[in-house]
Amino acid sequence: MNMKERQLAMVIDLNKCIGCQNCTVTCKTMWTNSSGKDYMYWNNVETIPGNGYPKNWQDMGGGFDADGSLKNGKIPNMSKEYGIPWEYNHDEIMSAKEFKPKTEPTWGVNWDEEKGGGEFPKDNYFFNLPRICNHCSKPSCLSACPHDAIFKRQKDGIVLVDMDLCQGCRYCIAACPYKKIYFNPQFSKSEKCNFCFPLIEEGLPPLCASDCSGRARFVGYLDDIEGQVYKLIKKYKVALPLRPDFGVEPNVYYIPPFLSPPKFDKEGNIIENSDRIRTSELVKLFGEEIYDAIKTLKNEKRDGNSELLKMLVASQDKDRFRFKNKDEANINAL
Amino acid sequence: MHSKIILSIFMACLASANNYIPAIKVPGDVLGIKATSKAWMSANFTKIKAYPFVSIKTNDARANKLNYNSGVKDINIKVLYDGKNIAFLLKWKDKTKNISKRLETDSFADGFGIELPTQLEVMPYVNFGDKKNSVVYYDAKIGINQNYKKQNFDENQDENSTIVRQEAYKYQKFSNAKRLNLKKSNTTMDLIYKNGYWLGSLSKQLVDKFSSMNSGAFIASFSLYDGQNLQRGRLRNLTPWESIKVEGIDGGEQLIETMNEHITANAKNGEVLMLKNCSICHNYKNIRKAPKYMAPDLSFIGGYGNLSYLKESILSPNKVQVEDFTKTAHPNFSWVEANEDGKNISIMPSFDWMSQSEIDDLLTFLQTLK
Repeated sequence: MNMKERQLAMVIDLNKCIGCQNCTVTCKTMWTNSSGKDYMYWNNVETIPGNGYPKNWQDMGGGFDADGSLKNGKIPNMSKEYGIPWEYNHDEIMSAKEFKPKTEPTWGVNWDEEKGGGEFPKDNYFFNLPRICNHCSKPSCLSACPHDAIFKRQKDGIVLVDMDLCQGCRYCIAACPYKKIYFNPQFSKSEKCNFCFPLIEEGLPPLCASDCSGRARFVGYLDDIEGQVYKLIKKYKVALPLRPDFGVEPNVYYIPPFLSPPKFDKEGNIIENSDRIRTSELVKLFGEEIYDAIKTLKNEKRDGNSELLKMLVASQDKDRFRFKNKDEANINAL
Repeated sequence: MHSKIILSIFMACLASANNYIPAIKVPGDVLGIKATSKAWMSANFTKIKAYPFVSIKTNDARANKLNYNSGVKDINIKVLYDGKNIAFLLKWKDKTKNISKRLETDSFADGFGIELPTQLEVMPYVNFGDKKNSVVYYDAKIGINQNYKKQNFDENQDENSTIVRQEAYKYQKFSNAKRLNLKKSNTTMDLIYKNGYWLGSLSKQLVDKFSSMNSGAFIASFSLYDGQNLQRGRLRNLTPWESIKVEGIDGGEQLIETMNEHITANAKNGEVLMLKNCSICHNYKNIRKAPKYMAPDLSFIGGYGNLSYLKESILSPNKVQVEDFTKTAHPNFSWVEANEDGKNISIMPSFDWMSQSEIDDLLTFLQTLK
């Protein structure tokens, strides 16, 4: 079933993400800074390997099975999996009491930030994984909604919740395998990343992308064959969707981390041609296509004149964002 | 042989008990009355039963199971009217009080719903109407009392301070709802937990923009949500269409008679027929041969399905088509398909080839599924 005419997509270069959380902060300030949204992070950057946010979201079900049927899923628990957003005793600080959280923190966004895996200093490693709603081509949240409250826009494929129709029954949250749709207990409504659609309509990129200090995010239409997004995903096939096995056809793609430092041997000497981040470990996240993608990236890196590498460097905004056809591109006005 | 036929004809006669909920006329104004109002003393409770709605399977496996096992629930009901307005009171037992909490994502609130047809003459599909016969659905749950427009959460706010969160929707098909503005229609709902019972009330004008009940009798259906059993949305306890007799207004006897139709034929033979003809697609009770999403689960269909609906579903399954549920969620199990002329038809075939006595037997068995 074709739900859209055009599809916006985002490519995030994991080699450029430094985990500064600018995207998280800008999104939090813009969209989830009010009642009932305390715990929501429409954008978060988590550390791989790690449990992520909500805790162990990858094991909570949702998405579609091989037959295209909706899979059962779980709604994350606030205290166990999101972590209750704690407040500090600011009001007591003048009486020289200990500055401490009012409720005992159990889990939260970035709880296991930069913990990573491996053994220091031999082969310890981690990388950052920024996550937003994938604005899927086959959104399982939409399929699970019994009230037709979730829709996918024809003109750009952005998936939105109609607040007038949402009745807070939360089947969408069980259905989303990325757990990127959240329940607002204050309003009894589901809320999610809207890809900053009011900005998109003005020809501007989403805030998480424009505020990215590492210039790691590319945004554009999937059918714009001159665009960076098309070239990275379709031409060079180096941008891959996260957990394609969930069966929802996500539209946020990642350039896998292929520039990891070498390992050390027992004496602390560099082991030549070794990678701390093993490609075999990335397969779980990005599928079998990872092998070809990393091969292409490594080969292109050796070529001093590579179009792909220049594209990934993306020194100007217009090299990262493209919303119209080539001659209409006007993104310098940022 | 001869006597057998006579016996089956005799048993297939329709029995009509003429049960209805009386709407008692009271002086004064019932618009806006609360669940604890003294005005309710003027009427006696009528007991009705609400059955777990299990026709569909959602993607929350635990909720499906708890809902299935939630049991048949009694609702005690009173209806008052003052000539212009009508008010319903529902009282039901619930050991656990579940309300929405500020910092909980996976708990669900108790509540109730009242479903009314928008037209008097027709009986829509009891679970949210269809294209031709729409329904209005009112529901109320306890939510957190917080100013919606306020930007930041008020820390000094009492966490236990709650409000009745009331909503109304017009449904024209299984999942397509339109939100109605309750304030504009002078409809109010109330919900209160007292001594192990919930008391829920709804008052509205007899005739308003959305529905008209200005007749000797009308129909309504009632739903209960038990947060303990993770009930929400479709998963709930549901009554069939119940008839309500408005005292002091003539007419409606025909409607009450139709709603109370009951058939008594050979249920044993009906069970055999059901196993032979229906169990390939439909699961019910411990008969689980059909693929999970193939067709509605009929385990409680005799509970919330009125006889005329059951009859129509067997003879003219095209009359009510539920297309949305499986459209993208279970594309291999589409309940509606286009025929050669491009017209949408239900994938369930008509069983009009059965003999009258076989249909009666089948209906008798379906009525026992509750």
